[in-house]
Amino acid sequence: MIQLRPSHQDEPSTTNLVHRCLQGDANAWGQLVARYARLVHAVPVRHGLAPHEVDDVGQEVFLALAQNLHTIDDPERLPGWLVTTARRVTWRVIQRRRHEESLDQFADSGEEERRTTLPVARMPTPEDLLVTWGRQEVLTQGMARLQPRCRELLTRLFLDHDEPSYDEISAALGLPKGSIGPTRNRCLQQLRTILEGLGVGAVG
Amino acid sequence: MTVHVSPDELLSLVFDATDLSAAAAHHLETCAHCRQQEAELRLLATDLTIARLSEPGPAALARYQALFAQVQQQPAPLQRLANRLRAVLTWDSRQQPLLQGVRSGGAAVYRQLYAAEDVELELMVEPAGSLRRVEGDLIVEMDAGVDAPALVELLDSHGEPVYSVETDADGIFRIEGVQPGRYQAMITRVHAAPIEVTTLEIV
Repeated sequence: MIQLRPSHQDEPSTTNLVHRCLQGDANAWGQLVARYARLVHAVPVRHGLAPHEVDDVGQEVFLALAQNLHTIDDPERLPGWLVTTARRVTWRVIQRRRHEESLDQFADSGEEERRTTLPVARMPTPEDLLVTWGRQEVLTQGMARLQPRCRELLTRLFLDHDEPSYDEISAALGLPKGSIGPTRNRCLQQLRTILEGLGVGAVG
Repeated sequence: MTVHVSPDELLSLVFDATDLSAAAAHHLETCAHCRQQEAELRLLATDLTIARLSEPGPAALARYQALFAQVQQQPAPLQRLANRLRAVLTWDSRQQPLLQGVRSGGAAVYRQLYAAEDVELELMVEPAGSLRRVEGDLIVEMDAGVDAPALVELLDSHGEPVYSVETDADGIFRIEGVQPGRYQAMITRVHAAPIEVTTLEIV
């Protein structure tokens, strides 16, 4: 299994942040949220939930964390606690949605306008989810090690919420539109090489 | 000499859904090396998608950060996850001498009943080789409404799930291959507070 590690070794430990939160330090809470929001979001994302549902899960999980900080025995196990809690909240959201969809189907007389549902594969285990997060952490490190030009291109192509078109990327980066595909391929190969060096890449 | 599918062709296949040429497609079917490369690229594509979809927006981050002050000002708002019902053991067939060896044969099979407010959890544990099969029935009082399915988890001493299963619509579940040991059980329901069994001995 991928070893989890903070992206920046000089950041305060999770234990330090939790202890400061328990003393009422809102700044420490902000750092805790910033550090683990992606981990929490990745759980409903892996289950195929819609963006607003992902935010709802995040809200409920961080509320539970704020209310239960004093019960966390070993703060370094917080990722596991967050994944387990996010998984339960996600499960409830899925059940509620299924229930609503079954009511909708019952109310609909025809087949038209049936709501599109996201495909949900088997429920990932907590271990699966922690592996996902480990890969995400390494992906972040890998992206940071790319040449700036490649990092910018891949960020715009794959990580930008607005999903810009090739025309927009071409204008923003001063890159001929016809070069985007080949450059992307070269950058993806570079990223793969970096990720393999960080211990990620092999399947199975 | 073997000519593999080129990296650019595989990248186009995975990231652009471009069809391979007939020759390349045929080679891919029979070449474990190329299929491995394709699988790794698909995993990378998935990782990039998860990264994009998991990135919290500024508004979401601001809401999460504000929760700290809200909880400190109002220590007891809605605590759906925190307000767990504790189910306690109310009946154990091993404590009933007259039932020893009755039903399912063998003294190693035992039944337990746990209860909490409007819900009961009935368990039957039976050996399956060196492991155990745990069958359960989550029984909700009639006037408490239907709240199935539920998510049943057996947790280790760190509170991390070791076994996880969903009940059917009637609250029935089965967990195969359980290692004997001490667990905590957590039952997450859709519309009601979770139920916790703090100590569950599987012997």
